Amino acid sequence: MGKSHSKLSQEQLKELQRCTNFDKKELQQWYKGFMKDCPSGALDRTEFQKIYKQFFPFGDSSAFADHVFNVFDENKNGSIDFEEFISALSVTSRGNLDQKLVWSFKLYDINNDGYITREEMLKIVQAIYKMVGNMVKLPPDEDTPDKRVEKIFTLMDTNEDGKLDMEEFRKGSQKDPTIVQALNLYDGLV
Amino acid sequence: MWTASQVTQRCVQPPDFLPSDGRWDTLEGTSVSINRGYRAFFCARCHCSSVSSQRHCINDQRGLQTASNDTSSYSRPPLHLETHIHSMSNSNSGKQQTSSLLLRLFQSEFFNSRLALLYISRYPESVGIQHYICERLEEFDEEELDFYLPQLCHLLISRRTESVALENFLLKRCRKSTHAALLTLWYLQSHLSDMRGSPNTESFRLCQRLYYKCQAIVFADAPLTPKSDTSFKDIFQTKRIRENVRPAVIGIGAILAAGVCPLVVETGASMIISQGRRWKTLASDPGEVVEESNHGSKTSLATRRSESVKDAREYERGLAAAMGRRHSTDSGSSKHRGLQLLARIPTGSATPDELSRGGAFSFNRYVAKASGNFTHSMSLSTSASAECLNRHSSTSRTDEPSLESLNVLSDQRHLKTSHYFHSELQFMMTLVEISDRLRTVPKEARQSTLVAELALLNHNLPANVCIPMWCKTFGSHAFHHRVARISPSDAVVLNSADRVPFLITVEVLENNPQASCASTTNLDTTETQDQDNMTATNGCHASDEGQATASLIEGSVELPNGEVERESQQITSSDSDLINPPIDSSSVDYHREVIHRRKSVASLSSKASASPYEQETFTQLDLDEKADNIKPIPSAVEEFSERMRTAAVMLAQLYQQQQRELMSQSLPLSSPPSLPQSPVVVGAGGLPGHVGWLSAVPQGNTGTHPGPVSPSVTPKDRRNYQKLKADFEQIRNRLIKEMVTLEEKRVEALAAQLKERQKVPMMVEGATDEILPEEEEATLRAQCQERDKDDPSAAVFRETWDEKVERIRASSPYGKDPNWRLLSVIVKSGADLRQEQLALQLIKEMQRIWREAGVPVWVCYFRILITSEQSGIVETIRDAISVHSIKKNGYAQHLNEKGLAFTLYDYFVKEFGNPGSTRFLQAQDNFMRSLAAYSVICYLLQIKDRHNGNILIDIQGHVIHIDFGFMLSNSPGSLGFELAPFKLPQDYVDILGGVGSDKFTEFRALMKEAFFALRKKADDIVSLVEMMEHGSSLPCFTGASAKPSNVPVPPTATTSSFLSFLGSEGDLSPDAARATLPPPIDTKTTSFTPIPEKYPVGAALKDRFHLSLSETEFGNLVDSLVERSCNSAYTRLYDSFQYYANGIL
Repeated sequence: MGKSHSKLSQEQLKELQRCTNFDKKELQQWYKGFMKDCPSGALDRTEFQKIYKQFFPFGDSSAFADHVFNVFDENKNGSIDFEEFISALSVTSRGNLDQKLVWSFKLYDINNDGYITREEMLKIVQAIYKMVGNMVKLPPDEDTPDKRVEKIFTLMDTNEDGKLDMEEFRKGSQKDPTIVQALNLYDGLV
Repeated sequence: MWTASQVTQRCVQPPDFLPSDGRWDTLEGTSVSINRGYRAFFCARCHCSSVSSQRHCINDQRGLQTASNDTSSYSRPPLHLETHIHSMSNSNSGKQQTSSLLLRLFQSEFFNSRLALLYISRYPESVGIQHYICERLEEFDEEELDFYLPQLCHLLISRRTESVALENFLLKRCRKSTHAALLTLWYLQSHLSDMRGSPNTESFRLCQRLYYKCQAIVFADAPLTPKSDTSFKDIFQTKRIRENVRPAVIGIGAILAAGVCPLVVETGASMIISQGRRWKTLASDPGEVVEESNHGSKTSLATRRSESVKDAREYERGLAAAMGRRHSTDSGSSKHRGLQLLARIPTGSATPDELSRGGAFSFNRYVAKASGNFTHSMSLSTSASAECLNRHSSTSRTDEPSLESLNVLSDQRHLKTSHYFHSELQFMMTLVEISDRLRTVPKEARQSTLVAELALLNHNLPANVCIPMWCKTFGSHAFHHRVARISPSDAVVLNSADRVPFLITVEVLENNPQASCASTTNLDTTETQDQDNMTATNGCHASDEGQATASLIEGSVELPNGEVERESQQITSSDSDLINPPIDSSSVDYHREVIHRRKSVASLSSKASASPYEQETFTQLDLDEKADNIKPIPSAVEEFSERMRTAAVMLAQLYQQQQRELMSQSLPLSSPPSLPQSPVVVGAGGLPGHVGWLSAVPQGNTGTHPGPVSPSVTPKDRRNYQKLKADFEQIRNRLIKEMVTLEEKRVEALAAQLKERQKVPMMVEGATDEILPEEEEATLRAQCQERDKDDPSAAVFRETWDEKVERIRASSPYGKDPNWRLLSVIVKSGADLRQEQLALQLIKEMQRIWREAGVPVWVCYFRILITSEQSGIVETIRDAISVHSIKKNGYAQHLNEKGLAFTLYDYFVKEFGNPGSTRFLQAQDNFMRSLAAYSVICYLLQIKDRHNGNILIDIQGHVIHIDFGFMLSNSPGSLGFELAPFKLPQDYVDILGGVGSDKFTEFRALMKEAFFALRKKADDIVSLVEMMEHGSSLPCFTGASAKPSNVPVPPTATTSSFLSFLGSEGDLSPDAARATLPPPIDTKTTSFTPIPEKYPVGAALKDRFHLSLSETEFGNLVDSLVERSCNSAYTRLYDSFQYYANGIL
């Protein structure tokens, strides 16, 4: 895994070049940055939560951090290594809108059954509201997680079966320009 | 969970101003509603401690608001809430509430700039809190933010934090406000120089990087970031993020959530992006350029760019790197800009040549300089702007492709802004350098030298320079004033042991928007030599089309005047052939030239000595030559100042040359043995202070540290050095002699004039903390004689401020302008004024607290401008005179009864009338109110060195304390016998009518009231001190008595002679003096008293508020403080010592 190395090995480089949107130099740079910020070469769940706490001190970010961690941690070994990190960064910064949405579907589909249920959605939205909800004044029609979930389902659940599949999720999200803008946060910056 | 003891502790620890539990009832003025409020509050706290649901915290908040809404003066709860939060964060269960409570505090009505500062300093590790607060900072008044700039800069540098919020906030502020940019630049510069011993630390790098960025903002000719950073789009487009994993993790998470809830992105975007851009050093990162340039300045002395092209390149690389990220990463373009910037950064004060030619601060000169110095890399925009300005002149550089006119205008505007910064920095440096130079002049010649220097400076005014802290550019009044003239005859040298500050009155013209366009056409050309339109310097971002038009108009107006000036240029250029600039000539040549000059001095109308490139290429550009060069010199006064100016120019040139040559002589030496400016010894190239940090950055190759002379010094070197020095000495003495003669003539003339006018104006003002007799003698010699003869009863020689303003207005050529204003300031060099500034900040905070609480005490706040770690400008206190001067004058006029001392009481009677009269009573009341305030201040801040030279009495009877070199933890030398809580000598008591009088009772009551008011807001004061304490090098925090102002002389008298003196002094009762003797004084260790163990200064300050005492108990304490202070033997002893050691009465 190259924990003790300051540079990525040739094989790692090749592999990452193949499956991410970064070139050799960028990968090396990010690897250096990663090793500098996480000298152990990996981020575990607690450290991950700490980072969230550092950035969102005013609310409870632990639940949200947990959910995000699960998406990062593709091999489910309880820690995020450089490959997992850079793949996530690659999709979010250089992927197209569809790729981003496909990837973020995983956050909401907690049990990984291909559908987002109301309960799953509520869990995530609750976690988000707990983290940042008190920092902004929300419009009255979505000032609780329930209301927001309701709104989302009205928008996205076109077949009205009470759950969202990938197609509904992708199409639905793209209807809302603020969502699209938010998804493009990293465009052109990384 | 909390342990029982924790809970108890929390409940027992009361809101700071409240007594602990059992004492509610003894609390005066506590209404029932407050009690209710607090109970609710305490209740809520218990809830919070046990349950971790948010609902309970809401109760908490309500209780809090009940309490505070009921009584606005008791607005402590939020701080207490915070204490609560603080203690909770230690327990695991409370963690989540911790910060949601914090957020509620921030969102409450109690949130203010002071709390913001406090929390910035308290939570450096929380990126979120830093960003949140810094965003909120922008809500506050600009003036308030500028007031706290020292704190903001200090926090930025002294706290290690991952957050870039504060850094970004400051840079944004700099981009918005020209004044903020200047002040920040100066603060950072002082910090850099503080840290020059440790250039490899994180703090130093941060500071240096920020300093470069600040310079880039100041001198770039295009706005670096077109719009504010807050909007989404800008963030998207400006620059890429770096390899920072933490913000990346947050950013990825935010994007994940965005599919359903864009909320995370909305709240965190700016934080995610700006943290993502955080400076990070990875190998082969452009960041290394800065590292290299650090290294570069190690080997070189990048202060004098013209002397070394290599330096310039390295320095420029640092700058380029500082701004490289903003522009495209294309190295060519950033290098380009770096060079261009470099040309604009003034590296020293205006040179004597520039000054003598006039228009040293002129815009065209600046354009010529900025582009001329680096013609090979001259930027399009610069040349194009110059082009635009001088459309009618045929320059040889027209082959540059012309840009769109709009572009040109915008560039020109920024050029004007950078010109403002350039001139402003040069102007301030020039003032400070005058003070430096005065130090090298013998005392008797200083006054005349100063007059001459100022006459020379005046030659370059009016100019687009301002005195920043006295110039309001906030809000509706968004225009700088401009300095029109500094009246040379009203300048006063204030001598002190090792420094030469001086007092000047600065005439400024307030610009208002309407007048700025009209003025260029209406005013007489001789008065408006300087055609620069002030509107252009109005903040980097105040860019509207109106301004662009104004610039355009101005460009065309310039023409006729320009032609006149071109003629003058031709006329004067013949002179300049005669007199070469002496800069490069050897000392012998120089000597010859001095004689030559002296002969031709009367015929000199100009000493234009342009360098070749300016003569050849920029003749047409250089339009700002003073037209009065060709005017006939009318009066004797004019002639005098002309000659004085010549002498001053020569002296200044001599000074610079001497510095340079001695430097080159001594460079092989490890340390120049006889150059006094030790902080910047090598490297500064004779530019003490302001640029010292650059050179003082690591000095690798030259390996020069002030220290013992290295063995490599040959005797020959030393001989040469000595000889050179002697030569300079000789020339200087001649010059000074001439100047003294001139000055004598001037004084004689003045005296003659005064005889005609029977009224005698006198010009002694307050804030003369350097009070030595010479000051008065030099300026008032003529006047004193007159006064003594004509009007012995002329009370205190003093001209009121208003009279002075009118007199100067009448004599000034600019006096008729309706926007004419007069400022009075003291320029100081060689003194670190930052502690002084902190003291005054604290005094202002107290003033605010008292005002808000309605306590009728009186204090005087005055402004201090820091221009480097050893120079600055201090506001003069108007219409006030030191107690020392009062007494001295009293004795001089034999106002005391025979055998008795002249007391302040005598002065009050003489000045304000009989004790029963209305005027006396009013003055007595004023005295009492100010004394109450300063007594509290002196006790709380432990202000020492309270001799009578540091205490002023103003025209209304107020007492005013100045000079805060010793406070909080340090005291003068080992003379730690100022043991009284504050100064309350018999003099003062007598004015109040004696200890038993009603006024004295009133004084005590008022003092208590003032104290109580401060106690309630103790945190406002304490936190300000605490946040400055961390990582500070100020003597008031280190406890070092490094720089005693008037006290460094070890007492030659022994303790017993003190005693005998005490016995002999008229107004002292010998018994009392003998009764309480101070511990014997060790006369050997006068300079430094080590402090055995370090107790935090902030904590000690908090202790003095005695927050654990009830109000009744505290009232008793204040009474005992008064008793201990009243006519304290220690106070008398200190005054006696000051008399013996320094002649202070």
